[in-house]
Formats: sequence, C-alpha cells, structure tokens
Amino acid sequence: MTSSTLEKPRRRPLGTPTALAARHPWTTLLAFTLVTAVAAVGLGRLQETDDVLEFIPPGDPDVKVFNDVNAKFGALRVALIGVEAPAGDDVFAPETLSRIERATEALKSVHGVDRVISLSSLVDFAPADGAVQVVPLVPELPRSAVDRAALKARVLSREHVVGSFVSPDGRAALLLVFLAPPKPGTQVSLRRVAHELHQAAEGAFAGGRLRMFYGGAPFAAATIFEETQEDARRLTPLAMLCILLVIVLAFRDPVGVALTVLTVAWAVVAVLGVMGFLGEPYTVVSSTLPVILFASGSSYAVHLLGRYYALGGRDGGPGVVEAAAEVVTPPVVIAGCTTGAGFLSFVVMDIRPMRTFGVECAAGVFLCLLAALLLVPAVVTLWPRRAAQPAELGRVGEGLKRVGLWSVRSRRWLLAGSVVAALATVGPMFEVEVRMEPHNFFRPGSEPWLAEHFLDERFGGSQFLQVSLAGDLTDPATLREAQRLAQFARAQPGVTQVSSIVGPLALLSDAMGLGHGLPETHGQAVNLLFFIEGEPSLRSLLTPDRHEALLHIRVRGDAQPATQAMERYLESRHLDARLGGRRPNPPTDAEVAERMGWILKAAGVNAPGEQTTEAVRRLRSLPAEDASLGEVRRQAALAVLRGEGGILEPIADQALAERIAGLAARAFSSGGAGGPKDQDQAVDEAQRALAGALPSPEDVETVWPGLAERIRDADRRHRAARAVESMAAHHELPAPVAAELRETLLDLLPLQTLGPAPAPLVARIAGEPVLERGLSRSVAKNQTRSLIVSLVAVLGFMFLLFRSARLAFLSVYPSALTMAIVFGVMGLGGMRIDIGTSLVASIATGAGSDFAMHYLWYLRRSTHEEVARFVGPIMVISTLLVAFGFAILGFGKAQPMRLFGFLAAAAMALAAGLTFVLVPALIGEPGGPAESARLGGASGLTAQDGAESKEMVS
Amino acid sequence: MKRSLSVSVSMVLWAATGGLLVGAGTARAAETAAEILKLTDEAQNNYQDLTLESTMLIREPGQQNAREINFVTISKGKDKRLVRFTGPGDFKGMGFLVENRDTMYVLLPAFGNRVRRLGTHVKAQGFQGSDASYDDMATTQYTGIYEPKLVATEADAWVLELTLLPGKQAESPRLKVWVDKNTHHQVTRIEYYDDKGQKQRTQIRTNFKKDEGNGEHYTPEWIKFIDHRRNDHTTELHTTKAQVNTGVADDVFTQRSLQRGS
Repeated sequence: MTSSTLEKPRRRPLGTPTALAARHPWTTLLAFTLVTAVAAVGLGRLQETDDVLEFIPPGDPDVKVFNDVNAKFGALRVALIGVEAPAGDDVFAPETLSRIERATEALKSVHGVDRVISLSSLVDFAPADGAVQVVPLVPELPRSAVDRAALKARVLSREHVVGSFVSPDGRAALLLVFLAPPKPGTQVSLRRVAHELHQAAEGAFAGGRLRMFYGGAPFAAATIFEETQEDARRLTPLAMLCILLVIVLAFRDPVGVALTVLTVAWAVVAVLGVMGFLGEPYTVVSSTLPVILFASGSSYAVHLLGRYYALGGRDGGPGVVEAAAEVVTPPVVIAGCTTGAGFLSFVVMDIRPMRTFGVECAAGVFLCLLAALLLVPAVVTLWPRRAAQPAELGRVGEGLKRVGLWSVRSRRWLLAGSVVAALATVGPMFEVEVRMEPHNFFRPGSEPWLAEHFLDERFGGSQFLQVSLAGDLTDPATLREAQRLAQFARAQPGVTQVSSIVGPLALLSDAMGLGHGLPETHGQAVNLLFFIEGEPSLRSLLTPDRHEALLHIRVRGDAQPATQAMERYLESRHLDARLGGRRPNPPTDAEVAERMGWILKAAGVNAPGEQTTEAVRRLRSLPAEDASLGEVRRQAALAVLRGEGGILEPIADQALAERIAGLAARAFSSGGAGGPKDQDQAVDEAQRALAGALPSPEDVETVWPGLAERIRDADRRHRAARAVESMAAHHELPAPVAAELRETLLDLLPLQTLGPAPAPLVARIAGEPVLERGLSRSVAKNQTRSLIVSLVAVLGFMFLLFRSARLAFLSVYPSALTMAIVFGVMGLGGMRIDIGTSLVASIATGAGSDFAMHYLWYLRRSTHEEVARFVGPIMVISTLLVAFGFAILGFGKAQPMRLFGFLAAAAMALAAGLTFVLVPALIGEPGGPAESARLGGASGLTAQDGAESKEMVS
Repeated sequence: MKRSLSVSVSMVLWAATGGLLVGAGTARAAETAAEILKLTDEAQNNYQDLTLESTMLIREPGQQNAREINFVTISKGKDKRLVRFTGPGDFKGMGFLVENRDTMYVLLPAFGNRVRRLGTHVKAQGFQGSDASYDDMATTQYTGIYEPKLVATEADAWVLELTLLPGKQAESPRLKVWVDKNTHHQVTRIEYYDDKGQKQRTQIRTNFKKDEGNGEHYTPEWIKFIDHRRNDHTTELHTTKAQVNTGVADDVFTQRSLQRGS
C-alpha cells in the first residue's frame, strides 16, 4: 500500500445519517438493540398460516366459480388416502378389509372430519326376497377364498363403487375423508388435520404389506407448507454460509463479514416483528423472506465496507467511514429503492399473500439499507477495522478492465449484437406459456406426487373437471338433462368416469324394484332422495336444498380438451350460466338417438348415427298389439298379484289371480281392435275382479295405480329391449351398455307425462382444469402488471439519481435485455411460467438494474478503466451474493421456488455480465473528465477516488 | 364387523326411538353409581305406548336457517314403531313401519302408494346430515352395557363416567352422563369420548315436561346434538307434543295402516 498517494480523508460535516451514526455510535447501537428487542416481542406474536388456498386469486371469473362450487360441495376439503395391495393380491383380503375398517373409524374420530367414505362405510342396496336389503357393502370379513371371490365380484359389479373407492382390478382402494367446514370466525389448521389423518391411517395400516398414498388438497397443502418451512430452515443457514464465504474471500475481515450478515438478520427480525404486531400471518412465501433478503439486501453493507476498506479502514484516519458513505450512499440508496420497487410491484397482484410478501420484501430491503448506512458506520467507528483486500480482487479488476476496453473497441458489434439478440427473443418470448398446474407444485417423490401417480394408474386419472348445475334437481326433465350431460361427458377424450346425482337415483330406483330409470315425477325424486340424503357420498353431489348438483368428471392426462368440449356443449345447449340457462324439456327422439351415440362412443363402439335413429324408430313402431306384448303385460300383472313390488298382499287364489291378470293386460292394450270403449270395459272388469280379491274392496283405489304402472312399465321395457336388439345385429354390445341404451330409450315412453322444467337449468364449469386456467390468467396478468410498475419505478429512480433520461435508460437496458433473453430461452426450451417464475421479471428489473446504475454512477467520477478495476470487484462480490442467494432457493424442496431461484440467479448473473460488457459499449470511448462531464458527473471526487482505488488494488 | 354407517333409511329407527328420551319415576335417594344408573334406566323405559310430535332442526355451520323435518312417532312395547312425516311438503305422506331392529316397511306415496320392505342391519350415523346417531336414540338402558363410576357430585346432578363393559358394543367406549338430582333422574347431558379420551360429541337435554296421558313420564322439549369432530355441527330435536299410555291399538302397526295413512 502506498499511502503517500492517498489523500487523507477529511472529516465530513455532520448532516448525513451515516455521519450522525458515526458521531453517536453508542446511541445508534442502543437504538438498533431497542428495535430488535421490540421486534422480538412482535416475533413472538407472529402467527403462521398453512392455508395455501389464500393464493387463489378471488377476482378471476373461473376462480370465482371454482371457489363458489368448493364452498358448496367442499371439493378442496377432501383428503384421499389410497391403499395398494402388493402385485398379485387385492384389497379383499380379510386383513386388508379389517385395516380399512379400523382406519375408517380412526379417521372419523379426528376432529375436523365431517365424514369418511370407504369400502367399510359404504352401503349397498340389494333387492332380495321381495325386499330391499340395506346392508354394508362389506357385511363381514370373508372367511374363505370362495367368500372373498364372491365379495370381490359383488363389489366390482357396483358402478358407483368401482373407480371411486376401489380400482377396477380390485388391487387398490380409496378412503375419502371429507373435512367439516370451519365454524364461522374460526380457522382450522389444514396441516393439523392432515397430520392427524396421516397418523390415524398409519396407525391402522402399520405393519401391513399395503402401500399408502396421501392425496387431495389437505395433504397437498400440508406438504407444500412443510416443504417450504423445511426449505427455510435448511436454506437460510446455507444462504448465510454462502454469503459469509463470499465476503470472507473478499474482505478477509471477520467483523466485516459479521456486520454484513447482521444487517440482513436485523432486517429479517424487524420485518417479522412488525408482521407479528400487525397480525399479518407468516405464509408459505413469507418463509423464503430470509433467503431472499440475504440475496438482495446484503450488498449495501458490502458496498459501504468495500469503500471503507478501499479508503484504508482504520488506517485511513478519522472520518473514513463518512467519506466512504458520502460516495456510496446515493447509488446504494437508489439501489435499495429500485430493488424495493421490484418487490413492491407485487402490490398490483390480485393474490393477497403475494401483495403482502412484496411489501415484506421491500420493507426488508429498506431495512437492510438502513442498517448498512447506520449500523455499519457505528460499529466501525467504535471498532475500526484494518483494510484487508486480497490480491485476487485486483486480478478481477484487471480482468474487468480488459473486458471494458474490449467492449469499447467492439462497441458497434456489441450494440448491434444486443439489438439482434433482443429482436431474436421477441418471437420465442411470446411463445412462453403461463400455465399454473397445481400438480407441478409437488416435488417428484413427495406424497401428493405419489398419490397423483397412484390415482392416474389405478383409478383412471387424478384430475376432476366439474360441472355445477343449478335448477330444480327434483324435476324429471332437469334430471334427464343432467343425465344427457353426463353421457356427453363420458364420450369425451380422456374422460374415464363421470359421477352425478343421476347415478345414485337410478341405482336406488333399481334396488327398490322401481326400474333402473330416473324418477318421472317430482314426488318420485323426493321419495328416492329421502333414502340417500345425508348419505355421505351424496353430499358431494347434491346440496341439501336440492337446487344445486355437481357432476364430477374424472380425466386422465390433459383435461383442457375435455374442458373445452364441455364448454362448447353447454353453450350449444344454452345451459351456460353466461347465457342465463334454459328450462329443460323432455327429451325428443333425435336427442335420445344422439345420447345413445355417446353411450356407444364411450363404450368404444363406433356406430353410425343412423343406427341409433333406427333404434328409436323401432321403439316407436312396434305394433301395440304385438303378440308378445300381451303376454308381457299379463305376466307383469300376475307378478303384482303375487305380492311382488309391494303393491298388494299376495292373492292366494291362483286361478283368480290369473283371471285378474288377463283382464288387467287387456285393459292396457291401448290401440286394440276393440278401441277405447272395449278398453274401459276391460278396466271396469279388472277393477271389479280385483276388488273382490282384496280384503277390503275399497282398497282397489289404493292398489290399482300401482298395478297399472307395473303393466305399462313392463310394456315399454319390452319395446325398448326389442329396439336395442335391432342394434345388436350390428355390434356386440356388452350387457351394461345394452342396459343403459334401454334405459335411455325409456325416456321416450314415460309412465307419467313429462313436462318442461319449472325452473331453468344453469351450468357452470368448475374443477381443477378451470382453476388452472384462472390461475394461469391471473399469473400472466400479475406478471405484466408488476413488470410495468417495476420498470416505471426503476426508470423513475434512475432519472432521479442521474437527472438524465439517457442514463436512466442505459441503467435499465442490461436488465431489460436480460429478461428478454431469459424469457426467449424459456420460449425456445418450451418452459412454462408459473407463480414462482413470474416474479423473476420484476425482481430482476429492480435488482438487475443496480449493477448498471452503480457502474454509471462511478463512471461519472472516473474512467472506464478505473471503474472496472476499482469498483468492478465490489460489483462482482454483490453479484455473487445476489446470484448465490437466489440460486440457493433452487436447492429447496418447494417446487415453485426451485425454478424461481435458479432463474433469478441466472438473470442476476446475466444482468451483471451484460452490464460489464454493454455499459462501456453504450457509453463509448474511454475517457477521463471529458467522459465524466458527458455523463453529467461531478469531477470533484474523481482524483481522490481514483487514488484511493489505486491504493486499494496496489 | 362393527358398523356405524350413514343411511337415511335408518331414520325410522332413529325417530321411532324418540320415546326413549324420557324419564319417569321418583326422585329416590341414590348412593352408588350403579343405583343412580339403574334409576335412570327405569326412568327412560317407563311407558306402554308413546306418541311424540317432533321437529328436527339441522343447522349447518354459519347458516342461520335450519332445515326442518317434522314427524310423528308412535311406539308400543319394545319393538313396534310407526313414523309418519308431516313436513316439509316434500316428505309429507311418507312413512315407516318398524317391525324390529332389522326389518321395516317404507311407504312410497309417489310410486303408486307402494310399500317396500327394507331389511337393514345398518346403524344410522345421521339422518339427512344430522348429528344424532342411531345409538344416541336406540340406547334404552346403560346398565349391563357400561360400568358406571360416580366421578362428581354437583349441586343438582350426579356425574357418572360410563365405561364400556368387555364384550359389549357401542359407538363410544366412554361416556360422561349428568343425571339430574331434582327431576326424576333425567339425563341432562351426555358427553361421548373416543378411546383416546377425546370428546367427540355432546348431547344436551333441556326443559323436561311431564307427558300428557296416563303415566309418570317426562320428555325433554329440546335435545341438542353437537358433533365436535364436525367443527361443532349442531342438530336440535324439538318435541312439541308428548302423550303417554293413550291406548294405541296393535293394528296401527300394520302395512295396511301404513298404506292407508290412518
């Protein structure tokens, strides 16, 4: 060190905050200690929230529908627990069933659980011995291999069970745990519930050979929160270590290192303390605050200390820290403002926790700045430090000088190249898709990730598209419209399963011996619903007031094609909520033919439309007096008279029963040769005969409607069967498909007159694919908004500093080019933007511009060569700090933060690199005072600073 | 397999046992837990026939309006029960006839007034999403199922802790029961605990009134069921009229009677 060349720093006048802190170091330290103590109290009050649903923007129309549907049906309050038997086994082993039962009971006992549905809690409606048996689906544990096979066959034959609670191959089972809505004004920790559910399930399945899977929103939210927390615990020390290493290598002064870390640590404690006092919850993103502040807030102390060391430290005499601050303060303050503005730009986002996070980060940055300008001077005044600069920094400076000179020499090529690069990125940049796929938040190998793969593999998909239906769901025409919608959905690509209220109604109707069709009157619908309302699984299909229903469409793979098809369908049927909905009418012949086509398509049968139309034509054209029909009616009447169907007590006299049956069959042979008069006579005769057979003749009025209905029902079923038979000539129809075709045809021959619905049916699309679309739209919008705000703010601050539009633009140019390149590369690589990566642009615009700003600031006082050699190393250190800080987030478990960390680090490094290369080129030929004057700089400090800088690296 | 399933069909069992929520007898001095429990059991089963008019109010968390279901329950002896729904309009006309715990008949007015026999072995967890379980209503006595222990004596009540006896089955392994000292051994509060000692549900019975008719019989006007697992989801049962020993004929409990609505 050649101190002879160094002008002694003069004592600066008291007036700046730094000078004040340096003059009153103990007071400053006391003030910081007091603030820390108060913040610690606030820290103790800090409440954490694990509600990741707060990250769903409330304003988007798709998201509004999703939230509304979720509030009514609780789709996001369902935890899925899957069990998978080893290869070659199934879940019908007694031990497995017993464990499922134990788990069901244990899960039900967890506070916050509304209901649990599993193989052991499901009931089965089975007709037996003239009654409907309401029995558990698994009435008892199988005692033998035969029992087990029979049970498996029975369970796998239940449409409403397979694919929902047991996999089609029987190897896997699902337990659905519905969480209760929280009491008004209270918050339930999803993580606590998820943790207890996990424990309960593990307890029940411990020691078995089953693989367990934990999916659904509660487990996913808990996993995301816990992984983020773990990242914060793991990565914060790592970030500190990284920063320590960089600063140790740069300054070789432990106190300097400790001071740098202290400024950030103090800021973190202060921000969290204020959050505690304000009652602002500590969210998933808040946990990244320490790492982000270590990355973006440590450079202020570095700049000040770097200058302090450069001026000789304690060897520089009294007032050296004020002298250092005088040069460093303006750019460092502007750097704090621009970085803070980058974070503060989040306030324009429509996601509340992100807005808060932006404010937290910005406040943290300003506090880091404050600590750098006050705490550091106070400490080094009390305990002055020796200047300690390693020779490596000198070499870095020399290297940067050469880069700068080369840059100036090649300025035309470089500038042209940068323009070409910027232009080249335009196309790919617009190719970058913003796609918020919630499942991408799951770390490969994490519980939700495994659960998703399990559902895809065993249950035909993990995504659910939903259609919310509002109308009178007890109206027969409305129910048929819902059924039509379900049949259309099932025929769409990727759709593996559709469940809705029509399924349980048809199943119950069948079990009651009322036919496998939908109710034909409002009263019938209510009668049937009475039996299943309150049944746990129904509550996710129909609201208690029966005015809203939900159609669950399970999709494997990309759900967007099916979503779009459903939207087009709803629009074409005028059911779309935006069109106001429509009052459903009873189905027409053409509509039924169309529905039959969808049923066949879903079953993989490729039938031309003419075949279904022909089937409908045959249904209509079967002669009323077809010989077989007469016998069908007679048999139906006979069955009723034998007591089947619960219409009357059996008639013991067989001959009498036969006679009444014959008369009743004739009474319903509409269109017969005798005409209506003959028919009326037959009705009279049949009723008289029946009255004579009943214990009380007046009971005929009670039982006749039931008898009539049974006969007419048998008649129409026979017709439908004949019509479907006509199709069997063309295709081999599986029995369930043929049955569904028959039931669909029955809509054209209702027993009761079907009228138009009393209320319109209004449909809205919801579910995960729609949420994804809404989130994507929100993220794209937020990114654009925050980027614009950040850019305008940064340009404003730069203008304030330089009082020059040109220099303000030059400061922003490298970071703007950086963003163009980063997004261009993302576009070329087919990478997508998510909530994490969408933050990079505004942060990088703010923090990335600081490099160029610092360069230009010093360039106003010195030459390229000197700036590169003497200030460049400090900039490299701060670049390394920022880049390493962000890169550390990339090593976390939380997926959204991983890509954000790497991308932000790359952007920062690139912005710094472009600054060193482009700024000299943009400024032009190297020069001393002339150039400085051109840049509008004051020359007062140049000689001294140059001398100091030379001293620093000599 | 032990079952506790949610099927509305079992509503009939639920509603039909409404008569068990009553008490009778005299306020005798009781010293031991077993004696107190025995007197409580006697109070609950002191009738030949019983007719109750009730309204169930199911309240969803955060909603002011409750769903209302009105019904009349006629009971005779241990098994015979007839339930008729009187409201809301949708349910009016529906009815059940209970022959025994496993067999019942249901009347479907909208399906040609058909009666269907339902065979069920399923216990009801709740009806229409309510918080009252079959066990709540069907348990006619505790003696022989639970082992009682007097854990506290309050000014107006004995507090018994009931522990499930080995080999017996019930929804809750442990109960805490408050037996009123002044009003004929009425159970005024029951807390249900799981095997880990966590409180799962609470039942509160208030405003006991002597039934109309010929007998010493008391029915709580209000019963409140709170399920703490469901974040304090609440169901209330309001008995508007209670008649005891009015001489209900046996032929009331027939399918024909059910079908004819008489």
